[in-house]
Amino acid sequence: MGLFKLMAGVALCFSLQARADALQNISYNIMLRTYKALQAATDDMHAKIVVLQNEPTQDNLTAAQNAWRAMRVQWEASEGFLFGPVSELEIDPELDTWPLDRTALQGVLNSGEALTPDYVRNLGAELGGFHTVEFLLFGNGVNSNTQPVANVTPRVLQYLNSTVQLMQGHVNTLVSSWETGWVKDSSGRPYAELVATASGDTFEQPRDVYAQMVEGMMGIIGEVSSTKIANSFGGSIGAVDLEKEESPYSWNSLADFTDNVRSVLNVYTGEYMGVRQGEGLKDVLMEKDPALAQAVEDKIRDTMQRIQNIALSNPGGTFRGAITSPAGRPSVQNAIDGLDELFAMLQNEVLPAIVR
Amino acid sequence: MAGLFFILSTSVTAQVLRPRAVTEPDFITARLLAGEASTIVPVITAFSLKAPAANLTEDQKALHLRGDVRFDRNFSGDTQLSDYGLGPVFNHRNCAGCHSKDGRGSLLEAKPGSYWTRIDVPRAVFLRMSVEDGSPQTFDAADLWGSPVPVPGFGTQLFHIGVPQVRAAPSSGSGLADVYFRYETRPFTYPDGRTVQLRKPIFKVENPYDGENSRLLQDDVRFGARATPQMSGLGLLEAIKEEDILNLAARDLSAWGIHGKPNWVLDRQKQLRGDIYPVSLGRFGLKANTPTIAQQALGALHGDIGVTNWMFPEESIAGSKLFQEFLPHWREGIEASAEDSEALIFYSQTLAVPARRDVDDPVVVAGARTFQRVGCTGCHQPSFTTGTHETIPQFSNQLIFPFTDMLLHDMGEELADGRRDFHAGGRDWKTRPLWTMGVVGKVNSLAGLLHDGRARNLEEAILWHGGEAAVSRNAFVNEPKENRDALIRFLKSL
Repeated sequence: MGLFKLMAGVALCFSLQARADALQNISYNIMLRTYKALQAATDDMHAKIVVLQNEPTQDNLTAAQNAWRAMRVQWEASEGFLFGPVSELEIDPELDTWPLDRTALQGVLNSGEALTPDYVRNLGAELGGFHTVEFLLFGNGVNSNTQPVANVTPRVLQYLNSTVQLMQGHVNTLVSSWETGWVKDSSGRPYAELVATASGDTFEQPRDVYAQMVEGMMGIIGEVSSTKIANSFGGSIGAVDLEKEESPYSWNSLADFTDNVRSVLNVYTGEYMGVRQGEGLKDVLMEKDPALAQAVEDKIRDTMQRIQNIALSNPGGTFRGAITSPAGRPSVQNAIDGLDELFAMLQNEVLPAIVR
Repeated sequence: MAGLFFILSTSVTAQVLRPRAVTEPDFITARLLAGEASTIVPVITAFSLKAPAANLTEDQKALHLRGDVRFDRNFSGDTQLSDYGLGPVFNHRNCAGCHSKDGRGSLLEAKPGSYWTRIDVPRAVFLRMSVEDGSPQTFDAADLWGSPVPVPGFGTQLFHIGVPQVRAAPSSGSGLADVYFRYETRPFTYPDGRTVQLRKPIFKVENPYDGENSRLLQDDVRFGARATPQMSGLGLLEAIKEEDILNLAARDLSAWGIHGKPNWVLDRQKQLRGDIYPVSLGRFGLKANTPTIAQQALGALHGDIGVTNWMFPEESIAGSKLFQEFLPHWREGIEASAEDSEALIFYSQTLAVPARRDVDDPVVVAGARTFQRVGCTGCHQPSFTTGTHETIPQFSNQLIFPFTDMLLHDMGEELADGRRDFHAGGRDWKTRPLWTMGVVGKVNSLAGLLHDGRARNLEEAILWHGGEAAVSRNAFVNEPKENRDALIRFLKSL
């Protein structure tokens, strides 16, 4: 009897420890780490703009374009957990408002106004963030996803400099809320700690965090399927709307979608960009339903592969090439189907199991 | 003797207890707040208000999803884009900007070290405004059945943001005018000595687009802040029988100081089809100033975002000098497609109410009894059985627990905005539904309560109740702390 109690106690401790490890790992080594990588990439983006201002060469433009893509990877890889400071402080719309108002932007660039960060901030989010920077660096995206450096005038560069400074401010707020202190919790503890320990005003126990993580995954998987892809895909080739493509100037949409699913993979497996850091939600699920736990990982990887296969369906290897060609469209539909299957699995199987 | 005493005492106890057991109201143990439309979620999370009603058909779910996508997507001021329609002046760029995850809007955050903070970006709050020069309302066609009197050149809503062509003009600020706020705090002390700091936002308006002598800055213009409420269960409120609401207004609750009254408001659909008396019972909006979700949703699309639609085809600032100057940047035509309008209305009608949690917890049960004992149910009417919903048959004949009588009540001077809105006076507000009050804080930890979002939690919201709610508020205040805490636990179970 005594031995049984002791063993039960050991088993209980082991189980609680395993759960804590998953939350600790996901919170610090994946979520906070992704935001810190976004911060570093945003700082690098600004540095590359300054270099381009000082020396406007085609190579420096390419370097700035690559810095934009690198920053984009981290942002998209954070969209599987759009809760907490990023949404409550309304940082998401400041960084990633879509669409850009190109007509207004051209008016501002043609004006004589001094393009300071304060001036640009006052113009509003539809003239800031990722897609404004994308347009100014990559050009209009109609026939090409780059442009001669001569198009990038000193005023364009000044605008880029100011708008990226504003992005740095928002990303710094995001990181400090996760790392230093989340002012909106009555304890003032950092958001990463609240997630890692399932505590604070928002969370009472680990399953509260698990459920929120799964619903965060569902949120982005649903958005990629029903919004990011569907808006431009249309019901038929005649109904394609290229204006609504996710990243229409850089032709980066397939990478965006892939990295959105990667953010789900990271949280689920405990990986950060392909390298396992510790336990993920899969480890929590393994204790409850090992077959399901593996099936979900397989489905996430399969869905990423289906998105990447879209590139193989057309000579340019782009999303816009796929949705506008009869040969490419089935590959897009195949990706939508994969996303929808993954969504259903998360909603109908994973969520009930993980809170059990 | 001892035996007799025993018998007597049990019989007295039985007499005391029996009526309570018989009349124990059904809301205390109710789980499915929205009848068959309730969702049963294992854990409340930040996403718990985003689900569609549980009893929709597949076709209805598809329409809801179309609305969801449109709800989240920005409108643009770029005339070259198919999502054109934003502004020219507005409060936010899309619906979800204010209704974040379909929950309540965030509290305003004061800038550290500043006396006033300017609201220079879209936030989940805006100011309504009207001229209050003391003229009596006539409630006929001449005063649009009691509509608020618009400020000439500005209208009845202060759009504090403009599209870049408005904002970039060197002479102007952000939108119609700049809005600033600060918080005024004061302590509230319970009879037991415990103190709570209450906080109230104060607003000021500066830099109107038409200069210092603007009509907007005259003394007879009243402003009232509006913070974003949650979207849950609205189609079910639409299905409550009018006679049930009017019967609640006819009750004599004068012993409690309660005199609920219905609002009778301009019904845009009746007006468009030429009814000579285009008036209906008001159900939605903080002063119950709109009759239907269609009018509420398309009114918000038209006002808050600036997108014209079939119900409101004219730009919100049509006829103003600002609009005249903006015309070169404007594209003529109705901006929201009929399909988008339909999907947005349906989406707004069909967001779910999650089932209650912790119903059997003794503290929650005790809190529910206190809720009734101190008189909260006098206005926060627990339940209705819905009538017929014309377009969503599943919402018909449902036993629901919204905790609102759908009526207006004088809530006292502290909450007053001094603005009349049809039959609502300057101190009147519609009883807010309490379903999902235990969820909104999980969806947005910054969610503010009450019409201007001033209350940071349920306790503060209760303490701000005045006017007709003063008797109940005082009864709450005089309860022991244990009972007050239990009452709040009950609200969090909703």
